[in-house]
Amino acid sequence: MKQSAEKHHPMPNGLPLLETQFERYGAAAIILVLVVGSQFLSGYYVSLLTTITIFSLAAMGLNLLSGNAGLISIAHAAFMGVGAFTAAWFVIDMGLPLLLALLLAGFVTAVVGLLFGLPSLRLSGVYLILATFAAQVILYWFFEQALWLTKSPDGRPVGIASIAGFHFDDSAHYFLLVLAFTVAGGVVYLNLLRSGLGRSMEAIRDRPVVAQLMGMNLQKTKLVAFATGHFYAGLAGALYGWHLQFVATEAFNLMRSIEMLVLIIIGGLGSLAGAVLGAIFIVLVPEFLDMAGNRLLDDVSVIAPLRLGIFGLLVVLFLLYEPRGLARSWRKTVHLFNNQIFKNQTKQNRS
Amino acid sequence: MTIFSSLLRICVIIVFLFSFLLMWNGCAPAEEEGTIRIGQITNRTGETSDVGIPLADGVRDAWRWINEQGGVRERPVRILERETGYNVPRTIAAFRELSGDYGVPLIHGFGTPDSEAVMDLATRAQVIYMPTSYDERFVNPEMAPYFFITNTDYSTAARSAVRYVAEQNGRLGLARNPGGFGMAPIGAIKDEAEKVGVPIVSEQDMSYTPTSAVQQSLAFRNADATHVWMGNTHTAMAVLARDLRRQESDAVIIGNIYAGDENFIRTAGNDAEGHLSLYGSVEYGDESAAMMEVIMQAGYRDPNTHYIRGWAQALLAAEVIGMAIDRELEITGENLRNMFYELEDFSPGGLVPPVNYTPEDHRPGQNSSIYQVRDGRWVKIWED
Repeated sequence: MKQSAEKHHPMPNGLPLLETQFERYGAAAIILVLVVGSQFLSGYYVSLLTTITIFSLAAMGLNLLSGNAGLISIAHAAFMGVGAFTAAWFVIDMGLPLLLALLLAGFVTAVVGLLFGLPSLRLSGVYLILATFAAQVILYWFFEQALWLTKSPDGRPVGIASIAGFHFDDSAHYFLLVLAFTVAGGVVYLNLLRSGLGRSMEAIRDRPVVAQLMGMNLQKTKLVAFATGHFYAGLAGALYGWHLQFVATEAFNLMRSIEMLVLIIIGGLGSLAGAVLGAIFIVLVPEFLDMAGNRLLDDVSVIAPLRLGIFGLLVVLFLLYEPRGLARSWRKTVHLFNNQIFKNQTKQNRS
Repeated sequence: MTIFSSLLRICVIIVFLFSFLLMWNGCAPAEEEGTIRIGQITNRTGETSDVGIPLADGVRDAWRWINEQGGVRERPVRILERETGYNVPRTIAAFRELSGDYGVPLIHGFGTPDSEAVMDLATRAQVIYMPTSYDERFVNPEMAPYFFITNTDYSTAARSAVRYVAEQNGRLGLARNPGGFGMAPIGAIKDEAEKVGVPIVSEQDMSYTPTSAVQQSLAFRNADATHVWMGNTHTAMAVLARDLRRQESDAVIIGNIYAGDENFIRTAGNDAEGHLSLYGSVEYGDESAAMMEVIMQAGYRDPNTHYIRGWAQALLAAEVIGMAIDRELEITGENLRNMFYELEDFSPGGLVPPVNYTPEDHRPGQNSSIYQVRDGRWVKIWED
């Protein structure tokens, strides 16, 4: 039995990254389909896929911060902006290679996140939300004023991404780069959740006093959550800049920050599936509503306000009837399939 | 699981399946042979949609009228509108869809940040982009070789305003929006002011939708400003007009094309009287313009300068497309660009001042007129 368990659970401390065969095969299949399928899609659909993938990466950071550590932030977009502008500065003004610039942008954003996270050591709940609101306002003001970094109040063009002489002229190729970072981000996210640090975060979120009594370092855990969550934000923001080929100040405003929070709530707080499903919802539903409206009514002046109304209604309905997010629905569906299709393997795993 | 959450899931699945079906079955309306596709990126729901809606409707109604007349040289034109709510990422996605998937040679655009974001894309895709933002960068062919606008750019117009103030021996204050739209002409204003000897006595920031401009009004009053240039929206201009009166300042506001419009008169009421604008078109109802009768027949619910400039932009696009057809050229961005350079003092429908473009300079005009609110209407009082 022991041998069998080791065979099926090769990860450290006995827990697999993905719990079931279905999830493991499913994840591999999804990545394969995305890699191959994206090369045959038109530019528009690749653009949507890339946006979803980047938002998933950013949402992992926010999920870590708000979903797992319980530190609600409405400044995540602003931190994405820090990453985007920093990476643009590293590449265009400093002449650093893109890959290095992306990672450095993540680290710089983590440091900025740490600085803004310092007040969180003494704040919680609505006061912490207000502190992050202040961070959003300050950073956005900075983007508009710091022309040495942003070049114009609206942002700066960054051109086509290029790594070691390879130009990502084709948006489908750039999608592969984004996908690689997001998959890596997902693996790190899942590993982090299984580590002592991840569990400390959840303990501090659920029972901060008990966690402290058990010897967990509240301050250190919160600061690590801020740094890690914002590393994700910075990296995602930088990738977003090269996706748009323009680092737009407006892309990192308060509305986008709120949208990111809505994303993880609809997707499901504190889970990887929640980050991905929430990103799919936030990006695709408005596009689908647009598309359906265009085909059915052929009058955008009627559709545009309707789209906003229907999208808002869908968000409210989700909050009312599926408050634990799409990830819960997904998990139920997975278990349903698992019980039917992979019945035998599941039993074996459990044993 | 409650019945509601089951229903919700079913609804979501249906919506997704339906949308996928719509996507993949190619159910786009059938096109007549020879149809020319044109893109339109609009702002009907985002910030500044108060001007985005009439601009979009002006373009749409003009193309509808052109199609009713048989199209451009008897070729129908299909307008593919994408509403992006003044949102930069959505605009970029829409641009890629229109230029890549639909292969349109020309796109009607909207504001400053969204248009700036597609500058490089338009160059690479060789697609004509016609924004309704008149930023200085958009008339520089080195930066935006495929951008063409119908009205004098913000900086050139603001220089005209400074020369007007110089004629009045005035002292100028600046009420600017700190974003790109408001900041774009500041450098040009300062250069021109230095050149013609107009002192700039105070610079104040104002948001797009302020509720108070008391601090700014006091600053202008204390600095003895006689004129205040305003790069902002009609809402901000109305608030400033109100608070200048309350703070007993005699400063006259010179609003840019998006501040001094019909909405300003409506919003400010009596406070609007005497204030100025770099108004960019003929006024609605001015029958000296060749196309005004047609525009009035369209019966638009809320006609204003933005709606008229929307018409002007579509008529300009139709003219260059027609020229390309006359020369039996393929309708591509590159060919249309060359047709723009062949225009000579062309005033689309007589709605905006005549335009000229050269490969070195995409400024349609070199100066602007100044209009004043008199008895609740914009009246031209000065020509540069």
